[in-house]
Amino acid sequence: MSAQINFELLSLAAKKLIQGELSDTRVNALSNFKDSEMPSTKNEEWQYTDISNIYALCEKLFHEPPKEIKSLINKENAIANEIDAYWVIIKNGTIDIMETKRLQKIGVHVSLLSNNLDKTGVLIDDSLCSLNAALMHDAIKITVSSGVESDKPIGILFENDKNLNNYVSNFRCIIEVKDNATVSIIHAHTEKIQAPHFTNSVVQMDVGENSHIEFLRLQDFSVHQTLIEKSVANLGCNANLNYTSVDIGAQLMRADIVVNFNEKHANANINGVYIAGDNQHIDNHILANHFIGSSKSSQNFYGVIGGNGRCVFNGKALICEAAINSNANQFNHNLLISENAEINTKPELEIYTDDVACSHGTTVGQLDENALFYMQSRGIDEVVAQQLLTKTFITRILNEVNIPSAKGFIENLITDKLRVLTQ
Amino acid sequence: MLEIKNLHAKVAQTTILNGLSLAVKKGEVHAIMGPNGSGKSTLARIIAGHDGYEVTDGEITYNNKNLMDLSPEERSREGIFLGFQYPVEIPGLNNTQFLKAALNAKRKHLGMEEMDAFEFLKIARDAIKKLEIDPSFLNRGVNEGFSGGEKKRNEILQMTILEPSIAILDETDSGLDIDALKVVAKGVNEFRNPNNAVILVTHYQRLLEYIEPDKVHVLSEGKIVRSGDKSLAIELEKTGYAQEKDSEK
Ligand SMILES: Nc1ncnc2c1ncn2[C@@H]1O[C@H](COP(=O)(O)OP(=O)(O)OP(=O)(O)O)[C@@H](O)[C@H]1O
Ligand SMILES: [Mg+2]
Repeated sequence: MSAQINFELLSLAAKKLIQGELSDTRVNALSNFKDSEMPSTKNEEWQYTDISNIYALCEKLFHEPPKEIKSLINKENAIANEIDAYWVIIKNGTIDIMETKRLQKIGVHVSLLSNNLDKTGVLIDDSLCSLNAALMHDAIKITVSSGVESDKPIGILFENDKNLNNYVSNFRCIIEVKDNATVSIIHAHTEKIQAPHFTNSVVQMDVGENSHIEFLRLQDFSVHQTLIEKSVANLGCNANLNYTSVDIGAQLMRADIVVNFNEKHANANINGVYIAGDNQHIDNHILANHFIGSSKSSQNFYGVIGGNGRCVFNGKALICEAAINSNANQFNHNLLISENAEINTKPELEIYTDDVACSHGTTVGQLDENALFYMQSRGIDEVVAQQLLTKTFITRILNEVNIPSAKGFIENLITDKLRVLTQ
Repeated sequence: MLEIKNLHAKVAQTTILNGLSLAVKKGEVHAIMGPNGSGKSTLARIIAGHDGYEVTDGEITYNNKNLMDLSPEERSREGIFLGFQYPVEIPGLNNTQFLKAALNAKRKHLGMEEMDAFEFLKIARDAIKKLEIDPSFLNRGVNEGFSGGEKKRNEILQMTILEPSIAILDETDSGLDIDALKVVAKGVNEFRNPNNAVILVTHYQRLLEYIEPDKVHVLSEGKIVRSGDKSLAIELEKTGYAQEKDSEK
């Protein structure tokens, strides 16, 4: 079991949270946690990312009463005002009834998990995921009925208690898209807490036959926050997932994105950008599991790293024996704009069959000197030219996002961040 | 307007310019010809402010200012324009956005109000019409996927919009088809006025049939070895540069 988090205290915390009998799911989660190891840098998958800072935060959660945090930047859900969507805002175990009703009308059912935990198929695998299941307070399930075509994206935002810092938040979304549906989902981690805080997030997605899901994940935490997120998507026959992650903030961010191709002819684009500055660490681990043939995965990540920022990209595709005629690509391009910036990038392929088309590549570079001189020779300030070139490099991601109403928001996030990074 | 005296420049340990002098006055068109590798582009890049060369001796003054004190962007805003021999592709950076940023940088420098997108588009549209450029160019990335000739036209488009005081066109005629050559020549001729100047770097006398130069110079091994009027270009077309190199020895 994990030595870093005291199991007895964890069990007590789980019971305190429930204020009653633990459901089977939570009991399972606790026992699974007991039997598994927390990740450490000795583990190859975690060698560049040290998450030991979360242990102290868990300790505080177990021992200290929640502390008032005056410093929570209270922009009153800026994102919900800026991006037109059905915003499902989860706060202290409640959601807005009006929005839920509106969604119900278009065939999207939203419910809080607390009551039906054991019937919901809560994923419990590794230690962090188990920790999440044991302690999750705010968890929701979104079910998109067959044939639904949502007119607007569905936004998901977990809100912390404005008055209390509980040190650790465990968020979980379970998304079930039935057959022949088309839906866009925005998952926002945009609430800044100006104090050390650990968010442990799990996203489970099942995408049915012929369904198309556009998933946008936005992260703009404060540089005091840590986010560890596991996202698992199961794709049905002919399903299509267009996933984009945007990481701007956080002191430490680790995302594990797993896409399982369980049926034929499914397609997943897994794209992302990350911009890291001083004292930031951003790690994206992607795994495309091609269990069956005629499936296609394509990973494209772009990063800009400045200050002493450190980033990790590990994009892997597993092509099983049965997965003939599969297609898997992994690409990662980085721009290092300072001397101390660092990237560890690795595309990986594990292939057990012939008849596959795979390609991968990574680049790590600086700004193109010729382009800079060209721009300067047209009167554009050197610094402005650098900013324009950097922005041009990173905003390529916008071409991959199929939620028009979110593009401006992403562009602003990127512009603001680059301004800080290049000034 | 532009005065270059005894310019010496090197890259790493290689001397490229070796005592070059040249004076260009308002209203003049100068042509610079010379063998490959003689230093024509180097001269052009040094005037534009490229920092890859070490100027070891000599001076360049522009409107009585020491040019060496100015950054490349300041030179541009002061009216110096370099049409690149090999224009750079900047994928993803919108051509319109790029041109507008350039023009507004200059206007700001001159104390003029910056132009809004609407005004700018009007100017840009007029210019592309005149230069017979496909309007879709404005929406593409800077030189992104442009053919060789299209890139050269784009340089002339930039010149037309920025209205410099002195334009140095480094082999803008190379790689142009006959019609494009005429269009580019027309662009340059319309640009010419008594208050500005043009330096044409070229290998071909043909361009000079369309744009009549006041002076023709031969640059060889890092300096001007011969100057004359447009008849010099006609002569060079027949005899080549062998004689110039010999006469130097
Ligand atoms: N960065 C560099 N390092 C080494 N040599 C250089 C560098 N830049 C230029 N040179 C050399 O300087 C010389 C002059 O080059 P330049 O480009 O000025 O020639 P040019 O007269 O424009 O030739 P062309 O007619 O082929 O365009 C060439 O021999 C070239 O190889
Ligand atoms: Mg040249």
